[in-house]
Amino acid sequence: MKNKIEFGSWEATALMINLVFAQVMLIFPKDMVHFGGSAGWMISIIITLITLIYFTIVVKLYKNIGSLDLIDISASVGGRIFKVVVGLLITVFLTLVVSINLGAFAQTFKIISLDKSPLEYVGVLFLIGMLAAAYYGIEVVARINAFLVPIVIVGFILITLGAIPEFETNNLFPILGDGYASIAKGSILKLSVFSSIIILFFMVPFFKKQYLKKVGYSSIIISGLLLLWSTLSFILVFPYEIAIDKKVPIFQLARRIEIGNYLQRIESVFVLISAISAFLFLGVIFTFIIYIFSKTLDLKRSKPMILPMAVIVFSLALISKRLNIELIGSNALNLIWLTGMALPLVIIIMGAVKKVGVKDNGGVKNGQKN
Amino acid sequence: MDRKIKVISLFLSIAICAVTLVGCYNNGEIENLAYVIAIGIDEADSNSFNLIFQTAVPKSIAGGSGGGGETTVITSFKTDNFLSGLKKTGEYVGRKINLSHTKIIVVSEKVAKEGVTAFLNGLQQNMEIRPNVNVIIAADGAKKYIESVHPKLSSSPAKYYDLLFKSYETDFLVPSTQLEDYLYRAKNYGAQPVAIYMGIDKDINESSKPSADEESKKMIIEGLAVFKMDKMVGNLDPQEATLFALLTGANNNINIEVKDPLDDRFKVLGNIIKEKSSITKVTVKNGKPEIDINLKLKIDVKAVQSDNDYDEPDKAAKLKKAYEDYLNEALKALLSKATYDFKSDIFGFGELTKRNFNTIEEWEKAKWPEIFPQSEYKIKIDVNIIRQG
Repeated sequence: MKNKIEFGSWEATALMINLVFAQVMLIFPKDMVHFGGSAGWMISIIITLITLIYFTIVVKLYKNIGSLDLIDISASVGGRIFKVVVGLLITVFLTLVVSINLGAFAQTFKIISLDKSPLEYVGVLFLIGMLAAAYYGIEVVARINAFLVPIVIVGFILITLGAIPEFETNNLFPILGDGYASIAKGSILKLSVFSSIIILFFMVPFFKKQYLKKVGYSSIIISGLLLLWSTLSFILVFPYEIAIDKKVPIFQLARRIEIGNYLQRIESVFVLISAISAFLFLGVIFTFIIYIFSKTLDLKRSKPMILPMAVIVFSLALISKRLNIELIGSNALNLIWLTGMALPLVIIIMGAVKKVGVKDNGGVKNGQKN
Repeated sequence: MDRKIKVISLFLSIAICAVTLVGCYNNGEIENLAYVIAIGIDEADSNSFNLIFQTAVPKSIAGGSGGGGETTVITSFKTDNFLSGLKKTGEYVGRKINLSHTKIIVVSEKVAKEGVTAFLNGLQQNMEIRPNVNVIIAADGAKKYIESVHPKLSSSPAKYYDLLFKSYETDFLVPSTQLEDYLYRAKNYGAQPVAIYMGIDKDINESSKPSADEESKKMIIEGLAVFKMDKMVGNLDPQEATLFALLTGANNNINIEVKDPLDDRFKVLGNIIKEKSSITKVTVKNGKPEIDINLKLKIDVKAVQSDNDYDEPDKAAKLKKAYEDYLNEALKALLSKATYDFKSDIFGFGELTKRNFNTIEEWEKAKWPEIFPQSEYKIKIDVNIIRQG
C-alpha cells in the first residue's frame, strides 16, 4: 500500500543531521575534552566509525525487511502485545530524550541570553515550537529541516572559521591526551550522540526504501564531520585545562572572535542558530513521540495526544532541572541513550531472522492518522 | 491545510520563538544599566581590599542634553569579595551593573604580589565580561591609575582604553596579558602569566596645567609584570617586553633600534618581521630542558639618523651583524632573567614541551615548573636586511 506522506532523501538527511548536531550546541565538545583531554577530537572520529559499522550491519539486515518501521517489525515478529511493549518503550525513551534536552536547552539559553528570565518562561517558548511541529506533522517538520538545517550549519561553520586565527596547534598535545583507556571509555559512552538514529528507522516508510542507505550514510558522515570539526576547533582554541570548565563550548568559541573593529561579538549568531537547531531537534523528537505512541496504540487521531504529552514532557524537564541533577553528559544517561542504538538493532535482527518483510511484502500501512 | 501554508506556519512559529529567545524578555535598556569600563583592586587591611569601579556616563559621552559633565564616575568600596562589591556598586548607582563593556582590570602591584586569582576567578564566571579584557598591574595603585585617566582626544573612556592599547601594538602588547590567557597561565604549568605594567611618567606635562601639579604625572605602560602562578615576581622593562613579544611570536610588527654600526652617535630603526620558518624546539634530557631557538628575521630599515646608505651590500652586512649581535645579547639577558631570576616560564616553552609526551599523565609527571629553571638555551639568529622605498 502506498504511503500517504512522503518526503525526499534530502529532507530526511537534514533532519537526521540536526538530531546529532543539536548536541554540539549543548556540551558535546566539552564532553570530548572531559574524556580525552587534548585527544578529545579522536573520540569524534571513533564514534563516527563505530556508527558507520553499526549502520552497515543494520542495512544488511534490513535487506529483507522492506519499508517497515520498528513498530511494524515488532508487530510482525511478536504480535500486538510485543508491538505495544516495544512502542511504549520507545515512547518512554524518546520522552526522556526530549525532556532532558528541553531542560538543557532552556538552561543554556538562560545562561547565555536570558539570565533574568525564569527557566519556565524559556522552557515554554521551546514548548510552543514543539507543539507547532507536532500539530503540523512529520512531513512539514521534515521540509522545515531541509531548508533551516543548512542555515544553521553555515552559521556554525562561519563561527568556527572566524576562530581560526585563535587556533593553537600546541593545544593538541600530549597527542594521546588522557590515554587509551579514557579515549575508549569516551568512545563507548559518547556513542550516545548518535542515539537519535532510532528516528531513522521510523522514517523508512516515508521515503523510498532504497534511500535508507543514502540517508543513513550521508547523515552519519556529515554529522561525524561536524562533531570532529566542532571538537577540533574547541580544543585548538582552548587548552584542555580550561576547555573542561567552559559551560557552552561553541558560544565560548564565538566570544573569542574579534577580527578587526568590524567583526566582534558574533555570539549573537550562535544564540540564533542554536535556538533554531534546538527548536528543530525538540520539534522532530516530539512529533515522532506522538506518531509512535498513536501508532503503537492504533489511535485513530493523534492530535488530541499533543497537549497531554507536552505537559508530561515539560513537567519532566522542570523536575530534572529543579532536582538540580546535572543529567546532560552524565555517564548513566549516556548509557541509557545507547538504547537508541541497541533497541533498533535487536528488533531489526529479530525481523531479519523471521524475514518479516518477505512475509508481509512490505505491505503495511504507514500513513499518519490525524 | 495546504502543504505550503503548513510549512510557512511552522516556519513562522519557530521564527517568532527563536527571536523571542534571543532576548526580548531580558530587555536591557541603556538607561537601566551601569556600564563598568574599568575595575580596580587596591590593598586594604587584612583579608579585604578596595574594589574600584569606573562607570561610563552615557549622556556625557553622547554629548546630549545632559552632556558636558564627567564622562565616568569612579566609586570604590572596601570588600572581601568581588560579588558583594559589585552588588554595592549597583545599589550605589541605582542601576544594574553590566560588565559587557569592561576594558581593563587594574590591580595594584602590592595586591599582585599577594596573588589575585581567587578574585579574577569570580570575575570570569560572569558571562558578560569579555575574555580579551586587559589585565594591568599599576605600580602606584589601581585607584590612582584609574583616576589619572582623563582622555583628552576622546569623549568615550572605553574608546580611550581601546586606542591606548592599540597605540602600543607596534611595541610589545601581547595577547597573553588578556584575562582568559592570564587565568589559564596562572592555573597551569605550560606557561606563566604576564600582565601590562603601568607606572607614572613624571616627564609628561600638559601645557594647560602647571608641571608641578601632581595630576600631571601621567601613567604610561612601563613593560610587563611577570608572575609565577598567580603571584607577581618582577617586571620587564619596555625593551625586554618588546623582545618577549618577538620571541613568543605574539606580535609580528615590532620596531627595534640599534646603534648605527658606522657611526655610534646615531641610531637605526628597523621594523622586525619574524619569518614563519623560525622554530623553537624543546627537548628534556636527564630531567633538564634543552631549548633551541632559531630565529629568522627580516628587518625593514625604517629610519637612519646618519647619512649612511644601508642599501649598499657591505654596509647592509654591517647592519645585519649589529642587529644579530644586539638581539643575541639582549635575548640571552632576557631568557636568563626570566629563567634563573624569576624562575617563571613566561615564554610558554612548557606548551612546546608537551609535544615530547604521549599522555597528560606523563606530562604532569615531568614537573615542568621544577625543571624549567635548569633550562639551557641555544640561540641562533639569522637577520635579513631589507630596505623598501
